[in-house]
Amino acid sequence: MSYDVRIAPEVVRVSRMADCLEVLRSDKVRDATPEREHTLRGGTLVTLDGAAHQRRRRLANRLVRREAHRRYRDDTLAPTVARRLAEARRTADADGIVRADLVSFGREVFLELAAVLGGIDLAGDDDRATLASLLETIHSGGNLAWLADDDTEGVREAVARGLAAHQTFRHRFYEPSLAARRELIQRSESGAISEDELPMSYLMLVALHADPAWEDEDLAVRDLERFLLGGAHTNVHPLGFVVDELEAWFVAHPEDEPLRVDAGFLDGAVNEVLRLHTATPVLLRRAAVAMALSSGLEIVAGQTIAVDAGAASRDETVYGSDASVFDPRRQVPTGAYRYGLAFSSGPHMCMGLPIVLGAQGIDGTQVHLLRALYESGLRRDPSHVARRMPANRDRYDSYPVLLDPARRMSPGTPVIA
Amino acid sequence: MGLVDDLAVGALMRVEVDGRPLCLARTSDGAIHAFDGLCTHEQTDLTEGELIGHEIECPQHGSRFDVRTGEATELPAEIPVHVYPVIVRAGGLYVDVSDHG
Repeated sequence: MSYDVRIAPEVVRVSRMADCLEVLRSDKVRDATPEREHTLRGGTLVTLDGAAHQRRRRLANRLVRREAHRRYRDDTLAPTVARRLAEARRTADADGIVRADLVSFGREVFLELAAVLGGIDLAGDDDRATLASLLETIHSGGNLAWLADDDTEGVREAVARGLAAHQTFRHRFYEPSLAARRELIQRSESGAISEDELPMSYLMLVALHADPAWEDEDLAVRDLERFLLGGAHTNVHPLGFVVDELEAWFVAHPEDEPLRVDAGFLDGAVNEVLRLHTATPVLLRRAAVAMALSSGLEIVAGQTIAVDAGAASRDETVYGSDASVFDPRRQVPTGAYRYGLAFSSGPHMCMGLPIVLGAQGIDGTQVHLLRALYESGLRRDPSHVARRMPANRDRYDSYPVLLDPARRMSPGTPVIA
Repeated sequence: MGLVDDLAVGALMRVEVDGRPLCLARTSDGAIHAFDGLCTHEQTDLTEGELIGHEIECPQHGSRFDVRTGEATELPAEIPVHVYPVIVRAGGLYVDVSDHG
């Protein structure tokens, strides 16, 4: 595999798609977040189990409905992409070529989208930069569960830094944004605005007391942080790999090159990249009771289960003998995930899936951004090397690109309804 | 299955036929639709979902199905639900499951 995840020997690992789905969908498994991370993740939607999870998840699902997605796309994503592209073009060299970083570009765009869905008000670039930095630190302190040797000074320091960033986020962003939403609710209750005018977001749900658990305000803050991380961080991951895979594909299939602005073709490429470069390659669960999988594998009560999403997403019994090869035209068996386990499965399947992939005439975030970039002449910068993250070699930390006017293309197949 | 008046506009009702759960839905045009009661993605009870126009939304992941045709219209579900003819006779409600076992 292209990633390196250390898993403690007492952990049972499942890697076939059938086994992974059975574990992820089982009501006998629970979240496996280690104790030390509870201050950053405990009680949140991503770690909650059972009926409490189901209730909160149903509330949150409303935020990613098609009707809301259309609004995010039209009011936030499209204008943000257009503005960022215009800003980038103003930095063009004398030859008209823009030199940019795809990872940074993606982070800026998706952070803005995540902030709108989350309900965090951002006043300008300073706010965006601060929020991005805080989320990065919170992420680093609360996503260490896959480390086997967890009781090191480095891990303890990462958790402590995460907690400090969590408090800063609360005071600088959460509290003023919540106050603004409470004021809107008061205006709605007094009849000054209609209920329909309340801009729905995760924080608006908190302000409306939609889940009694959010009376614990620190939990509400943690929950919102996880929501923002899901939208801002994970979305950036596929971008560099799509460019990598497509550049190689066009060398072998030059006749397909005009399709780089075709929404359907890009959708196939995005699904393949999600499958082959799974953002979270290992998902951890804990068996609440003894369980036996259909394959015969027995798991004892309390045992941690490492669901190898990366391996399962390349399972040849599902995706064929060329499962590890990128093919934007891949056909998968009915009911199989085109995107592998990129969004997990079971109760904790990623709620952002419809936003990322789109549906019913609304293009997903990846296709929307990539198409806009390819229309602007996107290509890899041959003179600068892309950099992988030190802690996870299957993630790009930096991906230099060019927006080359010589490669600009007219707008691709419209998906917009 | 019951009386037409038992099912208000916008409402969902769970019924069982030979142990198979079905969902009845009454859309805003007054029409009553019958379809398999479990989401084809992860077998969640669709009766606990929400009727939005002519679509039933699964409560777990937000998959949607067109209640008129059964077509899956929103990911992650991709396999349609089976739909059944509904017959209204003298205020009574009947579902024809003869074409599906």
